[in-house]
Amino acid sequence: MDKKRILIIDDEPDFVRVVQLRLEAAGYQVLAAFDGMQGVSAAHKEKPDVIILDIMMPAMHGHRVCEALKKSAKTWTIPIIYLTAKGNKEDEELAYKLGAEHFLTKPYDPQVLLRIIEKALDPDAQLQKYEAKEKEKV
Amino acid sequence: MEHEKQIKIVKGWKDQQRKAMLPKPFSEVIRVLLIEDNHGYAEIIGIMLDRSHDIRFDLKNAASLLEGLKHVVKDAIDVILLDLKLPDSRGIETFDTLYSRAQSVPIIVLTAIDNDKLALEAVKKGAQDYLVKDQVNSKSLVHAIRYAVERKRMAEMLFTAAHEWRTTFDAIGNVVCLIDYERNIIRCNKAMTELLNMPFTDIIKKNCCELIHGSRMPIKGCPFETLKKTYGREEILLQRRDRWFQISVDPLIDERKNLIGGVHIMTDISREKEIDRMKSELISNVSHELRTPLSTIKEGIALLFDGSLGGLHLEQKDMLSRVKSNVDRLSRLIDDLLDMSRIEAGKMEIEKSFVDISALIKEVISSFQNQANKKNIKFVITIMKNMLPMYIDRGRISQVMTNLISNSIKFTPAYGCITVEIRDGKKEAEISVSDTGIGIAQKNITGLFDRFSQFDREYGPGERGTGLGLPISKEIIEMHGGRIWVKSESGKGSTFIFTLPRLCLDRTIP
Repeated sequence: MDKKRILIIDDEPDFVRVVQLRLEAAGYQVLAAFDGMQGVSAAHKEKPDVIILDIMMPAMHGHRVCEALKKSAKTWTIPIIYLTAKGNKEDEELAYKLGAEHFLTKPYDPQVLLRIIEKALDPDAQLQKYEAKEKEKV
Repeated sequence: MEHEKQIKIVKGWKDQQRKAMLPKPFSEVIRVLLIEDNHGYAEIIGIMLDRSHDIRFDLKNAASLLEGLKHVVKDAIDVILLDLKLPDSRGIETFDTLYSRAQSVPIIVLTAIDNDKLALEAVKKGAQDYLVKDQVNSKSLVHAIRYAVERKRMAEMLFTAAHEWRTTFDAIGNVVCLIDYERNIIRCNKAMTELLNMPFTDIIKKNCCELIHGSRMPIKGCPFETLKKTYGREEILLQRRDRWFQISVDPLIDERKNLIGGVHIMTDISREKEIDRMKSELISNVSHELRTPLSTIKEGIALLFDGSLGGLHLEQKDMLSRVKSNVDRLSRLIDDLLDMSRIEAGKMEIEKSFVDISALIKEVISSFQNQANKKNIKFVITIMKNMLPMYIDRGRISQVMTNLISNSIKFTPAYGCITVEIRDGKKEAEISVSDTGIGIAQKNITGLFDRFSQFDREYGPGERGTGLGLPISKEIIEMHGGRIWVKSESGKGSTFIFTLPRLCLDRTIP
C-alpha cells in the first residue's frame, strides 16, 4: 500500500521541517507549501490525503485557503487540520464553520497530532462523521 | 550662597504675606483728603483729627471737585471726606463723578442735617459711610474714618481671595463641581463647561445626575448617595460616551456638622485605560508570536531526544533534557502571560463538563511524582470515596492544581510533606494543598493573589515564576463561583484552600 500523503501549508520553513520529520518518522509522505496560494494549487495538483494548515500567512490567509479548498469539487473531501499559533475562540469557531477537521494550537503535542491525522484518514470515522452531518441537516 | 539667598527670599515672602493678612496697625499715618469749599469747616475737621491720640492723620484740603480729583490722581489717599455741595458740582453727581474716578479709595460723605436722603443714596451707590456735619465730633469722625478704611480693605481682601480662588478653580484641568444635598450644581469650573460644552449659566442650579448621565435619578452606585451614609470620600469609575472617568466626591459640611453637599471631581483616565489596553494587546501579540518559534524548538528537541534523527550518547541526552525542561518552562510562562491578557481583556472562558475531580487531582499529583521524588517529598492524599462528578472546566481546574502543587514543591525543603485533601459537602467541595515549606510572612499574604506580586524572597530555592500563577488561579476559581484563600505562617508551611460549588450559575465577568 502506498504511503499516505500529507500537505503542510505554513510560512515557517523551520517549523515545516520539524513537523515533516515527525510525520515521516510515523510513516507518512510529506509535501510542503509556504504560502496560502501555493497551498491551494498544491492541493489541487497533488490531491493529498490530509492537509495541515496555518492561519497567519502571506499571499493568502489560512481561513481563505480552507474556504477555497472546501468549495472546490476536487478538494472538498480532503480533511483539513488547523495548526496555528493564533488560538482565538473566534478563529477556532470560524475554522469549524468552514469545514475544518480539527483545530490545534502551537506548541502542539506530536502524539495528539498523529492521533488526529490517523482519525482523519480512517474512512469509517469519516463516513460516520458525514452521516452525522447529514442527519443534522434533516 | 544661592541656596541661602533663596531661603531668605522665601522667608521674606512669607512675612509679606502674613502682613497682608493682618489688619494694618494704625500707628502709621492715615492720609485724608477733604473735599470741602467751606474753609472754616475744613479747619474744624483738621482740629478734630488732631485731637486723636492714637492715630496720626495727614489732611489735605481741596476746595472743589476738580481739585479733589487732581489729588486723587497725584497723591496716595487712604480715605476721602466729601461734601456733596461744591462750587463745580452739586448733589449726587458729585459723588458719582468722584466714585467713578477713585473706586479703590473709601469715601465718607459729609452732609447737612436736611440732606439725609442724598447721603443714603450715596451709601447705596458705594460710599462707605456718611456723617451729618453738625453732629460730628472728634471721636465719631475718627471712628468713621477708621472703619471706612478697614471695611474697604476687608472688601478688597475678600475680592482678591475670591478672584484667586476662581482663577485656581478654573485652572484645574480636572472637572470640579460643588453640589448641594439634592445634587444640584452650585459651582463648577471651566473644565466642566468644556466637558459638557455648555456655558456656566446653563450648568449652575441644574441637577448633576441629569447633566452627567442624562437622568434625574442617581445611577446605581452613585458615590454621593453612598457618601450620605459614610460621610467620607467616595470613588467610582464611570464611562461617559467614549471616555473613562475616575470620580470622587468629598463631603461638604457646614459649621454645625450637617452634610450640605459634596465636592465632585472627575478625572479623565481614558489615556490610562488606553495604555492599559495597549499593554494587554502587546503582551497578547508578543506571546502569540513567541509560540511559533517555541513550537519549532520543542519539536526539534523532541525529535533529537527520541532518536528519530539517530542515537545520542548519554551526555548529549543529559544536556538535551536540560534544554527541554527550560523550553517547557518558557512555554509555561508564555501560557501564563496569555491567560493574564485574556483575563484583563475579559476574554477568559471556561468550558464545563462533568469531571471526576479526585481522578483529576490524582493525575496532576502523579505528573509531579518525579519532581517530588528528587527532593524526597512525600505526598499524602485524603479523598472521600464515591464522590459525585463535579461540573467544572477540566483543563482550568487542573491548571489551578498544577499551580498550587508546583508552588508547594518549590517552597518545601527536602524530606517535607505535601498533603492534598478533598472534602465533599452538600453545596460545595473544598480542596486544600498543605505543605511543610517555608511559609509566607503575614505582610505578604495580603497581596498574594494580586498580579505580579512576587515579593522579595531572601531565601527559598529554585526558579522564580511570573507571579501570575495565583492571580490566574483566583480568576479561574471565581469564574467557577468558588473562593480561594491561604493560611500560612512564616516558617511553618502554607495551606492553600479553594472551594468549588456543586451547582452554580455561570458568573459573568464584569
